[in-house]
Amino acid sequence: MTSRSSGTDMIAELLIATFFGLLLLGIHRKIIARIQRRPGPPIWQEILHMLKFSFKTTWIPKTASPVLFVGVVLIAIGIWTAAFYVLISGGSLLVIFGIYMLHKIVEHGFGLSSGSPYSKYGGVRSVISAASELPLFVSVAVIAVYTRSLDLSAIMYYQQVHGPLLIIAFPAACAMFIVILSKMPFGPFSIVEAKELVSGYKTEHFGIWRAGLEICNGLKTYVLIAVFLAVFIGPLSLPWLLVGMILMIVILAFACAVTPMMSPFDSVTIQMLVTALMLVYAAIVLMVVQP
Amino acid sequence: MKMKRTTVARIFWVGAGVCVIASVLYFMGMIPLPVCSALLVVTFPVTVLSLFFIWMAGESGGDIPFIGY
Repeated sequence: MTSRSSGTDMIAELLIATFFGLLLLGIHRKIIARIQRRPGPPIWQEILHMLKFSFKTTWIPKTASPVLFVGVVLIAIGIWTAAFYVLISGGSLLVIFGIYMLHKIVEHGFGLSSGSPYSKYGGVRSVISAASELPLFVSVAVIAVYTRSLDLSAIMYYQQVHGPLLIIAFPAACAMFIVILSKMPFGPFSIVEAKELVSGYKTEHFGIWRAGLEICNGLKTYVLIAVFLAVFIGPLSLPWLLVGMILMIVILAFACAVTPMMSPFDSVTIQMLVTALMLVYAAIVLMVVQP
Repeated sequence: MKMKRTTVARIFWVGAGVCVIASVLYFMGMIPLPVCSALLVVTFPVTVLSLFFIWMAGESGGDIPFIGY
């Protein structure tokens, strides 16, 4: 997606992606608020949140494991930085989804590190919600059947020749959309951050630690939506990529605004149901495309 | 576990330096993308958090979080 000859600074790209991801989260909040007839915060609120937290007095709770408490913040930013570079280099989709899986472990680490029961329950729910990854595996398998590759560059080249996978493999796109939806705040599957758990796994991570987590969330949002567009729409110029990402966040916000947050069991049940449907679809694709 | 602000500032400058040098070396074609990315993956989080620490580091001891009824 980018090349050395373009002369674009790698650090600048990383920072722009972080801030744009936070802006997308702000747009997400604003749209949800407007749908629910509330004024809502300004769209740059998540950027302000990150800056605000970075200026708060910070310490480590006495009941926390200091190494884990600090380490998970560094790992959270690090893994999504890695995912960002895999994305811009057109690397393997499997690595990005491996990082997505790793994020679950990081969330669990967040939950366990502080010693707070709210965080612990958030961490446990994060493990329960690993069911959301199952449709992801099936959609990746379907993409591999069509494109015979899992490299993002090869997948995008396939779409230049055959058209967007959004049309060719629409159910796989729906499954991946649900996966991204499960990672969005205020969504039907956001059980790790449910209000009965205060702030879930990140309850005790405040101040600088929360600012670091906000950076991770910005990068994560940018990477997940950009990967979706790369995998199901194909290569896009920068203006169209930004338009596509904003359109995606609008659709995600509508989905979040009109659906209540489910209980953990309902969330897992629906995700398992989606997985079952996707397995049937994958079997059909396998028989038709590779008879 | 306390750390002096000057120590944090040193960590920030080292991290930021590594980030910039890696980026420049990659741009000049002296290191491949995976090496540059690996350096940034390791140093970027440390640089960001140390920058925040320079802005605001607490001098007080740890808090005891709510541990249930």
